[in-house]
Amino acid sequence: MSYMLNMNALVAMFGMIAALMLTRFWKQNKRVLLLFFNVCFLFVFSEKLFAFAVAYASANYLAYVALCRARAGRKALFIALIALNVAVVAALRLFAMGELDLPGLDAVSDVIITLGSIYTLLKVIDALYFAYYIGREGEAPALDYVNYLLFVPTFTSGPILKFRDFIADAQKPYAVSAADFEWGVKRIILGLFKKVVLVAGMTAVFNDVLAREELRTADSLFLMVWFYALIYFDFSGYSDIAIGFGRLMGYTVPENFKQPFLSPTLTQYWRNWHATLGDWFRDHIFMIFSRRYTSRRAAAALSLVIMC
Amino acid sequence: MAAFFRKVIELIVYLAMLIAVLIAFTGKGLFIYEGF
Repeated sequence: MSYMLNMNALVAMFGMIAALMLTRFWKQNKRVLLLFFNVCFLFVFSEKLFAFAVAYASANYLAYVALCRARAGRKALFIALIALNVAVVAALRLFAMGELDLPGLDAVSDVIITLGSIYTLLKVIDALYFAYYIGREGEAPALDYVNYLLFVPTFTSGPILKFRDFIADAQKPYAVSAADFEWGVKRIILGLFKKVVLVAGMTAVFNDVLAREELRTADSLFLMVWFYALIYFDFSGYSDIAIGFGRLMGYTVPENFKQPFLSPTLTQYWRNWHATLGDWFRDHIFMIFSRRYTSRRAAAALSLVIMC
Repeated sequence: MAAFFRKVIELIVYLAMLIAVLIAFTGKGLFIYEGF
């Protein structure tokens, strides 16, 4: 693959931003053009991923609408839909890992369709919570729902968007000021630098040390700290790129790493490290179960289960 | 004046980062921006 070909994705993203800027007089531009962009991007990236993602998003939209409109058996439907989604994604992941043999799936499946599946699942569950608690008034158009699930900048690696915030953003007309543009471009460059330059260099150093015949204690300690820094730059780099592109496309993507190493306490540190995942677990699991099991031991056990 | 120089330095730093990215971009990996 040539060097220029690899830039296609970035060029496509900037092309989309240019199209949004040129059509800003059209109030629906960032909703309609974004749908077009999201599905085209996935189609060019992988036809299998495109087919799976569109089918999965469409089926889940029907489920979401059904839950919004349901009058009886809401709780049972809510739990069943979450369980079904978890089962489907878990089966696909296990199949991709070679741990599960599903007759007939070989012909249609591919590892590629599991790309971003966990993040998509977390977003589907967030939308189902929204439908369950808000009901009919929370029903959003299919256009925005599909955009929410297939939003290209966050599709593979987060940050995890909140359904409520994304739908609210979709209602606002496209508006990116010169300051926003500068901030977004700087954020993308910073993210690419972390991911493409820093992480690549740090990985080479890590592998060199690991390849030594004899590892001393100092080497092991170095590897431990080095790998931790590597993960930070890798993941925060992804997030920087997604946040930058999201802002330039007119959507606010939440921060994932809020300077975790400057946190005054360990609790604060974990809140600032991969914040959107922590928030997701707090809002969708911890808050629900901690209402029922109020003891400190139950809360501690629940925290351990979530961390695992 | 200080603000102007700060902006110039910022521009140089981001340009340097961008050039480094352009040199190091390999396209390896499943990350959607790279494996396109």
